[in-house]
Amino acid sequence: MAETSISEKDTFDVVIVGSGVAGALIADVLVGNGIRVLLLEAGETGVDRQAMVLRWAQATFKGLGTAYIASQPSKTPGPEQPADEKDRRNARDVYYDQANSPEKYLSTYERRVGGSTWHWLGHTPRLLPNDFRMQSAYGVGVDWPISYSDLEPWYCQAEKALGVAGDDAEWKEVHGAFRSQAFPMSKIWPSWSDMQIARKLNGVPIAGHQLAVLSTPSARNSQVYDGRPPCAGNASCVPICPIGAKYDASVHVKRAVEKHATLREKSVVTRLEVDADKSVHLVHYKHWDGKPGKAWGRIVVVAANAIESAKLLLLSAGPGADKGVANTSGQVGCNLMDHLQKAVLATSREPVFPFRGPPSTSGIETFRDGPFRDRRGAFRLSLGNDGWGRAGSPYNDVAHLVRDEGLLGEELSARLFHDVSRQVRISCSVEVLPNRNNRVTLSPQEDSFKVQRPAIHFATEAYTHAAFGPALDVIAEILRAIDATPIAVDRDPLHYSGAGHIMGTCRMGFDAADSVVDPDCRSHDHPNLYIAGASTFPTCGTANPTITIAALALRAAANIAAALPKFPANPSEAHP
Amino acid sequence: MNKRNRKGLRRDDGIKKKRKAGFTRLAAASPSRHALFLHLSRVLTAHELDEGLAKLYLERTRQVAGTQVDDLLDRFKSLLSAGRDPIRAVREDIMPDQVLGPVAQTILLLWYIGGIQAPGGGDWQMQSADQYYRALVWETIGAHPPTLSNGYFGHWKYPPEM
Repeated sequence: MAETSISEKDTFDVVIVGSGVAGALIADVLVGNGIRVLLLEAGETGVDRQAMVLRWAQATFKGLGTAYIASQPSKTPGPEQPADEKDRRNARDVYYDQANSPEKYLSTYERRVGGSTWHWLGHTPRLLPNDFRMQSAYGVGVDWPISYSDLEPWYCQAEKALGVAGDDAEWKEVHGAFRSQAFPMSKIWPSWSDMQIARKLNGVPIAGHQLAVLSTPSARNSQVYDGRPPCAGNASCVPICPIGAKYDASVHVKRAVEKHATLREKSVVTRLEVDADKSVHLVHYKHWDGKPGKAWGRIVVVAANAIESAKLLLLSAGPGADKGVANTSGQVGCNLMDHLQKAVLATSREPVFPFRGPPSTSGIETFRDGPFRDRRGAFRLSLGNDGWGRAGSPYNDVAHLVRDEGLLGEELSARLFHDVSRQVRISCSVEVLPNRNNRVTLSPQEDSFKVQRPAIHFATEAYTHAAFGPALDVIAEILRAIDATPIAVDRDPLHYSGAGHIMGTCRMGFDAADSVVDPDCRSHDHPNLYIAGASTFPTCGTANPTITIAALALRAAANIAAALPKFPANPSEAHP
Repeated sequence: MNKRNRKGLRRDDGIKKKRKAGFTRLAAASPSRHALFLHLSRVLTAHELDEGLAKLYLERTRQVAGTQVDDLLDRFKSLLSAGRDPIRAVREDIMPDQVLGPVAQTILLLWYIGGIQAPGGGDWQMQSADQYYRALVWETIGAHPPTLSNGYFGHWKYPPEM
């Protein structure tokens, strides 16, 4: 054991791997309790927000990660971070090894301080009660070892922590998801387009339901909150909020550091070491400058997103953990999930004025639960405020009118306004069941930092495919009701986009033979190892995962603070 | 007032004459290109446009279209000199031209988008954040360039003021 060579400056109460929303929240809670915390982050803080915005504005290729390209991309390779500039367009395929995957896993993340909340949309709908009990309610998937009621108080705390805007009356009890506290802020105003759609759907049954258009709860300020300004509708949430009205986890990283948490960025964790007594105290990392580092924690938290967390646990296979750390169940890396999405673009008869406001401010929650879930997946519908932006609008529209229709001058501007102002988007987001064959393993190939890349095997099932048809049918009926005409609808269930919701891989459960962490998010195998983030989700429902991640993180932080006294205070105590 | 010399010219007339000849020469060179480009751009876009941006866009268009830009400006100039209505002249004589029409379209699209697209399609090559923000497309559709709305909270609830 190398523990006697660990200096005091590398000894902490809690070492957290990953400074995304889970790690940042846990750090902030713990350090507020006088606990010595180290946050290890593979990525960097990078340049300031305005510089990132300008970098994006001037970029020709505007991808998810464009604003966030690291100062040394080869040091934190990732699906949005190509080591080579020429790979900017296909960074995901350069990083993930999917040579043996039936379908490509499409979702990506950012490796930087604050993680993927930099580029997220900001939507925070909660999971529904039945999402936690899919096996009991519908005979599919598995049950979580906790219920919606167990997590509910933590959802409230998480909404306060992030600053969530929502409508209490609308969200009183959607599919049984009761709320014990009011939203911290009143809702983000729905768009003009949302309101026209809601008005036209009023009294019109669709698929046997009266559809309610609900404002989407969001971690986006509707007033000054936490010293951050209200949303100004910059319409760029994905990939970057220029003013910080949208929450990102740098908020809690900064707050934790102000309270004297230690942040070591540019520190890529490469291995967790398992002691003879099964504890995991020592975390090995490599700095961008090549120097090795290590940190010792009484408790260690892995919060590096569902792909990187699983990868790290598998990389750490060794004595005492032959299948990887926390992996006697063999489930680490397994049950990888995402939400699969299809967008329907349409032309409305009346103008709806897209490209204004957040990309989506309302949705339809009606089909997120129901008896049909015993045989096919649920779906959530979102109303777009970004027109046909996903298909290249409005640039493509200008080009078409100029080149194909020969328009110029006032004729051009009138037509451009006429056409684009009528662009509508309605999207569906479908659930995926956990499947142990959908998994992250270690690729034999290394990334540019000389660490094994994640290999992904992913294939969607009939349960999910069978949801797309009904979802598209509902969308078609909605469009008819609002007098909008769809352009080309692709019904192929294998043609979908990823939602950026990377979930599964370290699931929660009662049974150590079948899950990675217990209901407290503590590893079954290692008494002082916790895992935080969406990797712990046993199922995924149809909710954007971040608020659930935050709720679980705050709950885990409380568990960690309570458990801390049980563990040796420093390396010498651990190995007398 | 200056006394006239033996040639009947006022003493400083010679200097004025030289200066005038010099100005005329200057006017015949680059400012005229810029002025023409700006005028043509205003006709194409039906917008008031910024001279500084016009200079940049003339350069950018030259980079992709080479001397065809000057051919286009020459044609435009000669149409103007013939007393033609600029808008009609552009529509009838320039846009249908196999060579000059596409160059004019490139210029029009540059003002609208802030970028230039390769002949095969694909990305709109951007040059600067400033040009991204000043692209005409956004105000035309009643919106704003993403990341810069200049708007108040909730403005998206109402139709745009146009």
